[in-house]
Amino acid sequence: MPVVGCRGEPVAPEEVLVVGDGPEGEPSRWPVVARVPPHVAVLRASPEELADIARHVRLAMTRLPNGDVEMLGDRGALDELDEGARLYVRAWRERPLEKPDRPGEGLAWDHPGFQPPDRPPE
Amino acid sequence: MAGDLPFEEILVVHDDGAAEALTTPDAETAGARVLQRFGDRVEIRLGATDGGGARMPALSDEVLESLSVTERLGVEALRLRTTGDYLRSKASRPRDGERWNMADCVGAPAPPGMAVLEAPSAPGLEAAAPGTSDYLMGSVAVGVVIVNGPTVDTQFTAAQQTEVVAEVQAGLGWLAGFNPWAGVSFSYDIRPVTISTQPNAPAADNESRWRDPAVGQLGFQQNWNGVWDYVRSLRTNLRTNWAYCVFFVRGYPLDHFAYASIGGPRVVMDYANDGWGPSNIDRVVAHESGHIFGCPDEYASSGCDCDGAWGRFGEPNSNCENCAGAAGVDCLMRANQWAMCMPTRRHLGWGLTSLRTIQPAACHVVSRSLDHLDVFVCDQGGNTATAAWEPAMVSWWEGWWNLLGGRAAPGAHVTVVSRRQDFLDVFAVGTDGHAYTCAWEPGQGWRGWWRIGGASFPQGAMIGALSRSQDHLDIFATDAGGRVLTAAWEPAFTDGWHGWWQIQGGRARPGAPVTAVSRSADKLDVFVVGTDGGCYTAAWEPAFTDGWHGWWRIGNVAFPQGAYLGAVSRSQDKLDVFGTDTGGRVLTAAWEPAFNDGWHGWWQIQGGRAQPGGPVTAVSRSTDHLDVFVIGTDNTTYTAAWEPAFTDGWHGWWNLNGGRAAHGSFITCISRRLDFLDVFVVGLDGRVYTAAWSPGQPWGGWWPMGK
Repeated sequence: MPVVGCRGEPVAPEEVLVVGDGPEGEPSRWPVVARVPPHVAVLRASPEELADIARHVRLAMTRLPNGDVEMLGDRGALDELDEGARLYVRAWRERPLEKPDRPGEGLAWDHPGFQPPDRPPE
Repeated sequence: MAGDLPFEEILVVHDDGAAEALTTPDAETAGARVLQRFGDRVEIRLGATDGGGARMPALSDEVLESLSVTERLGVEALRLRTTGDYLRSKASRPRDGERWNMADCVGAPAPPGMAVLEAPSAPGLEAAAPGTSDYLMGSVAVGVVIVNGPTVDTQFTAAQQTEVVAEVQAGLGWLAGFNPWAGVSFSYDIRPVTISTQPNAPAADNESRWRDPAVGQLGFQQNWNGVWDYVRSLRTNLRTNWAYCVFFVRGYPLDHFAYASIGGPRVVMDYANDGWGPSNIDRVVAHESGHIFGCPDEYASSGCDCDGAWGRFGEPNSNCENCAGAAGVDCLMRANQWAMCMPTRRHLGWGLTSLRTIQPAACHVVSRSLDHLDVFVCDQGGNTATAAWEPAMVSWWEGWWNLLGGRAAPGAHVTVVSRRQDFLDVFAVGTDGHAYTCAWEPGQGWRGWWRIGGASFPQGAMIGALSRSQDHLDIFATDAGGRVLTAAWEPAFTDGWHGWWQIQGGRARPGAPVTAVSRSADKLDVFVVGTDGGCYTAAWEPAFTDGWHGWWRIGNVAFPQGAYLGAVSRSQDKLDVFGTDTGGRVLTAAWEPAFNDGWHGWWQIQGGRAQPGGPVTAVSRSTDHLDVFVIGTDNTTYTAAWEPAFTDGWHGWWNLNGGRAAHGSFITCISRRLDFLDVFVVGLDGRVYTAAWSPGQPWGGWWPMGK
């Protein structure tokens, strides 16, 4: 089950980002929640599974609860990515795991003082 | 002239696998800008810009037939746009030149940029084309286009670009993770682009100013159609089910800080994200993506109401703040929060699709592990289908899924058994009259259908199935010749199923249901109405070295031939059997080893009456408890119960929440955990309905399984 829940922030990094196929082929055991073709994918997996996943790919990384990144594999794989994929990986590594000071938390989109997304009817 | 476009279009069809064009008329055209691409081989290029018309080379049938569907549609659409009818329709285009928000214009106000939805393509072809974001299941390509302008105020810093992508990851990750059963997976195309357009440059509107050059930078035509082309190319190139794109801008004037079109193809977002700020881009992009996949707004000032037909299933906006009870519940489409209401889940396309079958019909159900339910039915079109439930499902049931393309007679029995935890084996008589099976295993998914032996059965006949111990399967049915047959499988049978064997010369009406029950490990007891209308039973256990024993007749009661008999073992080695006799009495009989005189009964259950032969189904929700279900003479669902503490015999009948079904319908019942009951029936409208009971609670339901 994903840690990203029905409510609250996506608090836990229950994802493993992988780069490239390894000698044991695609890690099909884990659901893919995102891809940046052709080399990057994000798997729904717990950090404890990092080593297992790393056997299937060139590079695998996960976010630890303190925000740090743990990596296993060939870091040189990152240098071979195109600009968009590099940007995706950088964003994934730097993404805040918590947002305690989110503006307007829980407010209706048309709460006074805010504009709602989408243009309201005339 | 191709429609009323103010420029000439040139059709180019490339040779299969070759770089050279088949139809390039001259060197000048060879270098012309490509306006549209259809597949790998068809292009429409820009011709003279001071006029209209189309240059279309002659194409042989051989060439046309070699084109893909997409390529051929491209050719046919351009041909259509050169026809007289089409030109006349464009010459008299309704409301030509009027503003989109003109007075008396019927329909919702168009968001910025919607004007070019009136693209000059062939209306019929456009309408028939599948949408790019019909519902949120499966793989989705998303283009994230970060538009950098020529001034500092219109450019994203490296940190801001990273932030934007991180926010999109968070928002779409939340959507993807919300419903694991939807299998949502986003494939990204992240494209920072740089354009030279000043923020105050003249433009038709505040979107096309930056959008058109941005899609030009992506290699597509610089207009609204270029956005569609980009999104379609994403779907093609990334091989996804769906596609859309999100444009991020900074410092360009926008009509609104965030907006999208219901059904796609694009979201527009300002980096500043109004008062919500960049740290709420994740929520806003998820909200806008909801629109892309058919969800309406739910906050009050959106002007929503609780009606309408939204999303994949055309369901109302019943969480609209203006009319829902208590102003609705928490939901991303209503407020800045990670929550999703049930109406939004349905609008996204999650949950049960529609299914109808004939009446009367049976659905069959199994609980493959604690609190898991899987239901099987054959719809009115003869398609085998299944749906599943477990408590963690976010949209109640999921389904109906076509079961490996299996076909049978409309309303045919699709029976199921679980031979070990989380394994499913399904059986049906195919349209050729043979028995077929398919199986589901964790990690393997569904596989099959495989034919079982050469026996022939009447179409729609029931194949009774049972697992007498782990990984053993036994099935039973009456063939087209009236022989009561059985077949068996276990992993040691490396050559597949064994059988069919006739059970002790047993005969019944062709297709008559054979009910089987295992009163203890590896023991089998079967029941069938014989050709004389008597209820007969036979038994097998490993100690019977001479095979099956029986048949023995149970009492002298007569049942209509082909009637279904319910049977259950409420505790080890005890048997209870149920049926509706030719006089319409709902009866039961019982056996246990202590009965030296054989079966006891038949007894009428509390005066119960039903159509003669009406199926009486039974379940034991805990040791020595019996619950039975039947469609009464008034077409209403009824239940009765027995347990040892009832010294006055059976209790009931209780009207089960007014459920109604055709005579002959089965009320399929199961206990997915101790003392819980779930029942299913095909209602008078052909939908499957379910109801549930648990200790201390009244019956809940009937709930229709799908719209």
